[in-house]
Amino acid sequence: MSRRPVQPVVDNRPMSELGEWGEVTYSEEWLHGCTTASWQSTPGVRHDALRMGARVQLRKKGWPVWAGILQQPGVDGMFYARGLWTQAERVPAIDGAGNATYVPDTAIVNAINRGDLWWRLPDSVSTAPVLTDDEAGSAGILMVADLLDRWAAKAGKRWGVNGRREVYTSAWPALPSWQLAPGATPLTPADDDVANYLIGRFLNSAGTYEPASVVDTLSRDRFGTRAVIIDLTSHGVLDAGGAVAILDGLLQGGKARMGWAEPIEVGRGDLLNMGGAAGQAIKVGDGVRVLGAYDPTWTSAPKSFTEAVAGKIDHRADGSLLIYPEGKASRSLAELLADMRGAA
Amino acid sequence: MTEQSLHLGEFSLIMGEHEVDANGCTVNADGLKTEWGKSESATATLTSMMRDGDRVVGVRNGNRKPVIPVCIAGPDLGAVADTERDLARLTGKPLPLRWQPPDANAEPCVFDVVWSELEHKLDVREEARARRYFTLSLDALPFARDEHLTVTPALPVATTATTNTLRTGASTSGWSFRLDVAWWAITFSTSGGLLGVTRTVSDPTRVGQWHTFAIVLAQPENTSATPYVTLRYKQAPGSPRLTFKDGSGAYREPVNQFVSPTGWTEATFMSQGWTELEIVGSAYQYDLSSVAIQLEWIKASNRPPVRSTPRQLVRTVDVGGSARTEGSIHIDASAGTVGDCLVFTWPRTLGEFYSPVLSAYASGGTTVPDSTAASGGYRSLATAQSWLVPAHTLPSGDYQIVARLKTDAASDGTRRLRIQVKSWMGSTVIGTPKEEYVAPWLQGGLEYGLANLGEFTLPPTRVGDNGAVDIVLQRRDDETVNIYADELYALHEDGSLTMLEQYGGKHVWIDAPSLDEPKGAIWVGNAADGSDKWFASWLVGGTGSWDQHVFDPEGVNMLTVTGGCEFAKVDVTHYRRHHTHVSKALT
Repeated sequence: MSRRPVQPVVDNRPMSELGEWGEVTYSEEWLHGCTTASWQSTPGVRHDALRMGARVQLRKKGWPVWAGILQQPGVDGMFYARGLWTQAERVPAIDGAGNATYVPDTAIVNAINRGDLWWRLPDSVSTAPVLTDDEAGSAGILMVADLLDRWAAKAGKRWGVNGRREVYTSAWPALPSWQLAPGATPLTPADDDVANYLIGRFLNSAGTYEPASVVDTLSRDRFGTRAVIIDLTSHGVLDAGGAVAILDGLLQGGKARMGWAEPIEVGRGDLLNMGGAAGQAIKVGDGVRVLGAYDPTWTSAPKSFTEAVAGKIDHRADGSLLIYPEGKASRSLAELLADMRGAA
Repeated sequence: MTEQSLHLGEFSLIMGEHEVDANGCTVNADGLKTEWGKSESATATLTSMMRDGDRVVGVRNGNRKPVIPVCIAGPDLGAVADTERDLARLTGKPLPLRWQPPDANAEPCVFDVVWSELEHKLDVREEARARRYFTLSLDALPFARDEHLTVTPALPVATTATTNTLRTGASTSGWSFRLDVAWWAITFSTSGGLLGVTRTVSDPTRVGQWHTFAIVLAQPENTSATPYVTLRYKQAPGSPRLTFKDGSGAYREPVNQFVSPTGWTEATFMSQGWTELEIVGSAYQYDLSSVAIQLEWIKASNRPPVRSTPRQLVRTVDVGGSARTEGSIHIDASAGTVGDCLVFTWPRTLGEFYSPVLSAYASGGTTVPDSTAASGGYRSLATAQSWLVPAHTLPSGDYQIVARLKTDAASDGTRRLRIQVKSWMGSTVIGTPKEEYVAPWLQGGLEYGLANLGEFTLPPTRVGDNGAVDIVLQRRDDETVNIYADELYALHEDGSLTMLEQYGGKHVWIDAPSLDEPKGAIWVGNAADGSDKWFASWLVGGTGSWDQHVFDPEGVNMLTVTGGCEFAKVDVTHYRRHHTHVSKALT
């Protein structure tokens, strides 16, 4: 029998104090961390704490698994919250004197000190400026999220804010931490997004367009040349090194590998750690190995198991998980529309 | 014969022969057409390596929907309409539906009705006879419950500790054995203060079979003043659990069971009213003479068992019934103050060796004695500290690791720790260790506080009974504050956790959800009667936890930690829940 998995806590008050609750769902993504959460309460429930902008945490036996901000409560008793990282979309990356800074740590710490971000920074993201002097010349003030996205693009990593309100950074895992029993869920490879020859077009400090390119030779030898032209002008002024760093980051982020057509659905007992114990303590960015599923997507050689990295995890109300492998191709209309919005 | 009766709230739905209500009407349910309904269970189908068939697990049970046809008859249709009004006023409200079956041996069964509707069926010929027919459709919680709460009182504690040794393994006298098969022989031997029980067979084809045996300890000693009887024993690896009987033939569960790091198990019983202790086990015949079990001693004490210190108590609660239920827990810390408080309940079926308290497994390093520590001492995390837990005491699953920590910082703040879990077999690490960095918010000023250090799937690699799970905790290199670990708890996902921050008062009440208070409640206060209590969710809002304590019908174990009080008195109340009819058996 299932236990009651997670309880919302709003403004440090357990939801049990504020009203009845149930049907808690939440999502996290590897890039940005906690994204959305929702739960059902009594229709028409009212309480001082249940207001737009209240701090929300979801706790699993006291352990915070999700952090965010309450959106305007509806009259139907359905509550929605957005992830804490979204604060950074509206907070400028400035130093103590109010000048633009391109150093992630400086931007985050000053925003925390001003009270603009409810984050914690237990570990440094980076103490080096993300933009070179050339690039910085015309950049002006960036939003913190924009600055961190640029840092992640150049570093080939992901950043996010987890349930403890902590900023984390994470790279492609070397080893998987989880495995699925043979035949549990075969993954269908999707080659929509494979690209092993990336040609970037960027604006240099002289104000003219300049190309830059990177190649993943292993992938090219295996899947044939798949070139893609990437518009880097949205990054503002770049120098050649910065442009190559961004393209390299895309390759490291899995662009040269085949993606997947569908998410993995796992119930309790389906997911095992590498030592064979069943559990669901999986995090975004963890590697998952699907045993017994032949994997043609490896750039080096095909393997008798499939490995994917959890790029997004939906925690559903019945306690089951939907794990979206990083590089999952858009298949539903909603996903395709989201892609188009992201591109626009 | 006991008259049957059926009541919705106070409203009688079955009346006796000469009985009428205030309106002069009789009300009678149609027994042949009454249905108690069925609870729809929500299940999930899991994939498995089974070639055929699916594994199905229960998620939750939906409401049952009893349907009761009712006839109201009266002197005239005006009176019938008055009684209809009385019944209709009760509909749509949460009320108990109480059914007494027609037998004095049967217990009354209560269904908690959450919603009800009344439908009239017009019958013109019956109108002329001043009778009207209705159908009462109910929506009730899925399981029947007892009419009254089951109370599990706090274990009595003597002010001065007395412990008597009843038997030791140094002597074979006072022990006797029963065997299940005649061709089996058993020998006792004492060696180094231990009583070894060896089974011998002469027929080599008997090797490789399972046999049951029973060890009987007659109880000539009077243990009424020292009712807590503890047996220290060690089974052969892989042996199934022992069961215990009290002389009347009834099975008894230990109130506490603890596995020492060396593999010895201490099982404590509340022995009041027992005439003997019978230990029933089974063992595998590895060869012509295999050791079945070793016994070291039996002691009797007037104080309940503790985990490391009397600030940490573990006990079992007999739940009974056949369906899960919720329990209310009351902690009386009036011998001191509550302090920081942790209540963890877990189903007995999780395994009798599982213990969430890990201080006894601290390995190597130095423990500095401290009378305010829950474990009796603390270990500095400036260097890596290891808790080496026998693998078979940790059932596989997701765990929360909670620690009781203090720091020498002047103020509270974020402190950085490294936590690593790995599996051992002998002197070899098996598999890849899992390591996490955690940054809990810890109290300063050398005040102990509870901190959740994260969620881990344990064991990191599954190993046999001789293996161990190592939990390593260390201050991170970039942390300048000194951090000291008192106790470590490994809390399995099947349990329920309530964790409070520092509270200087005397009492805590964790109330189970009910129809009146569907969310449950958590209270603190100083008066035992609760008259000065107040709602305490602010004590769990910061870093704590407030859970519904779900009780499994086969019994639950309960750990209570009170940082400010030794031998806190803990009592528990719950409704036994049953499929449809209430059983009389208490466990």
